[in-house]
Amino acid sequence: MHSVVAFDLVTFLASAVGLIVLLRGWKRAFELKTKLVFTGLLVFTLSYGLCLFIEWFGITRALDRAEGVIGTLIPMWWAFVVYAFLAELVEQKLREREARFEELFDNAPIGYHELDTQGRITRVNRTELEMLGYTAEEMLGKPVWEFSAEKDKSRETVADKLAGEISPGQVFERSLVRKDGTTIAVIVGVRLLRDKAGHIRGIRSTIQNITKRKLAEESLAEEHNLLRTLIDNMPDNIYVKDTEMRFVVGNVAVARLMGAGTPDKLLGKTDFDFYPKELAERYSADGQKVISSGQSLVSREEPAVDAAGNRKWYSTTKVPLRDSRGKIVGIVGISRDITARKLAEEDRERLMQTLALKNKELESILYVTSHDLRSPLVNIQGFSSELSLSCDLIHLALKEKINAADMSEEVRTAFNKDVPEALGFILTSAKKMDSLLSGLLRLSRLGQAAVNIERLDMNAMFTDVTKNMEYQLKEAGATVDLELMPPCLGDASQINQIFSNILDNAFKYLDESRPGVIHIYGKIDNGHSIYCIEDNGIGIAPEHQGKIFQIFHRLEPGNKSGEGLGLTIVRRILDRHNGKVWVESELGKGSKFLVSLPSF
Amino acid sequence: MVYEIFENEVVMLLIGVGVLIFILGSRPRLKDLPASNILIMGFYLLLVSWILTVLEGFFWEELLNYVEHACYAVGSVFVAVWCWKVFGNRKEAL
Repeated sequence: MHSVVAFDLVTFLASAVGLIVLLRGWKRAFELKTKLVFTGLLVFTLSYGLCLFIEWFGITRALDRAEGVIGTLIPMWWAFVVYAFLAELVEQKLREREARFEELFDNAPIGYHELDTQGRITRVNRTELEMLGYTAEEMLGKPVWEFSAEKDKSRETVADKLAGEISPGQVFERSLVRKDGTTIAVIVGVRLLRDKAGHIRGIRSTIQNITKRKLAEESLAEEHNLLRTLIDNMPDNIYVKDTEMRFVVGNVAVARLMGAGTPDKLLGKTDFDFYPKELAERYSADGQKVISSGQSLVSREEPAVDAAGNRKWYSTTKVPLRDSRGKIVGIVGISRDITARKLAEEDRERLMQTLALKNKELESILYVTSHDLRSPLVNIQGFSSELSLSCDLIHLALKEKINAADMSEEVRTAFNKDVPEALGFILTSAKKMDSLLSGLLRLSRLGQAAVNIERLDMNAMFTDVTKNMEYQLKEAGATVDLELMPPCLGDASQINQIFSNILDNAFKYLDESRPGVIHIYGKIDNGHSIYCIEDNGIGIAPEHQGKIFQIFHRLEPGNKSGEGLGLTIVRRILDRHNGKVWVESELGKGSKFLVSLPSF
Repeated sequence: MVYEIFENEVVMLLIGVGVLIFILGSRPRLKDLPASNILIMGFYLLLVSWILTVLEGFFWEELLNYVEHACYAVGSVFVAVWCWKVFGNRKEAL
């Protein structure tokens, strides 16, 4: 029995503790009504435990009834407790849902507002407020068109909406005025709010800021316009074709070439619509090749026919056009009319051929002339010598008679002076003519000689050249200072001829008033070997420097031997070797001959 | 053997069963309550005690009465613990 009392005591105490804890934490959680109901439960349980406890001690039997009533109330109160908790949970869920909706409404990425039947704003979300820069107080209750840049238009639209004359889902592009006076472009979406009877009670609108998009569109349109203007005003033919070789873009020039009139008329068409079949097939094959290989076709020269049927030449570049993922979606082509250049090239080629033919003829004439003139010259020389000899014999035989007193003075002068002198002039002139003809013959043979290009050891060559000119070197009393030379490409015998001629001139025109010094050196510059023969000779006056390479030009015709062909031959040989020769000189100080030859 | 049935005990049991049905029907929602298992366990124990109150009139009077009071006591402790977890423990997030 005592154990039962103990349990009742525990019931009583546990209820008391629960009640105290509840009252202490009264402020925490749950609504007041839920707390009151729960408090009631604890009070009843406490009372019930107390009744049982007292009853078992037999203090009074009067508690039986109270115990019965309280005991019945306890399960009832449990029902209240459970109901109160459930109701509060439901309410809490609703509040949470509403809060979430409010948050969603306020923080939606687009603006929301609601209008009443007068078009006044009744609700507006935070996004729209931030978008326009107003506070809720500044917007609520005001007609929505007050915030529009086109007030009349906006008012009419709202009226139409409220009259149900605008189909659901329709959107409008509008400009709204922000509080700072700037305007923004927006898309307004409309939904009508109706009551249960179906009557319109307002409008709910969505506002989407499209200012950036509009600016981007305008910028894109400007860029497109700029690009279009650029390509339409370029003289080159510019086009874009898809993978089926259909025109996607074409400029005015290409439309004109193909006789399409305007670029629009090219779109969707192919080369087969404009060109003869064989040309169209060729262009199409080129385009397909660019697409399949992904390789560009650069500056390809190809024939074409314009709308009038004229044959033309174009330099065409075709490059693959790729999308953002790198996939080839077509080709971009640029072609330039090179017909004039092609015609000029053909003319030049023709002229070059004619010139080569004429040169050949000239060389042939030169050769024939110089060769054939030598035979009569030899006769002149031979017979003049014989005539001179005969004159000497006659002079010897008739010496006494010629000097006799009865011989006239004229005859005596003719025998003793005029005839030998005339014969001397004939012989000298014939000899000179022979020398000139020999030079011409050498020059003409040079043009016909084969050029055997090889890599040349120029150190060996210069050593050889100076060794062969040892005698002239000693005669001139000069010294040669030879440095290490870079190699070059050329015909050994002809290159040898070049430097022999230059060195010969250097020895010939040394200044007798000072010891001659010839400095020979070389270097490689930009793919060419440049050799320099520098002397301290008499130098060349500026007015002569441009003439020294001309045929038969001589600096001191009376004093120095030669035909004036040495430097002409040098230039001629260098022309055939793609080389160059030039001179730098100062009168009285010396000259510097520079020769440039391909080094590899 | 004398069978003794008290009306108030039967009424108490019937209301308790009604509450049980209500609780079982609302179980998913009641789970949102903090420490709901403790509170519901307290109710189950009290329900057992109400059943035993009726049964003790038929057999094993003393034993069932003993268990009935024990269930009352343990059920009240559960409710007190629930109060402590919800209202007394300051760290508990509500």
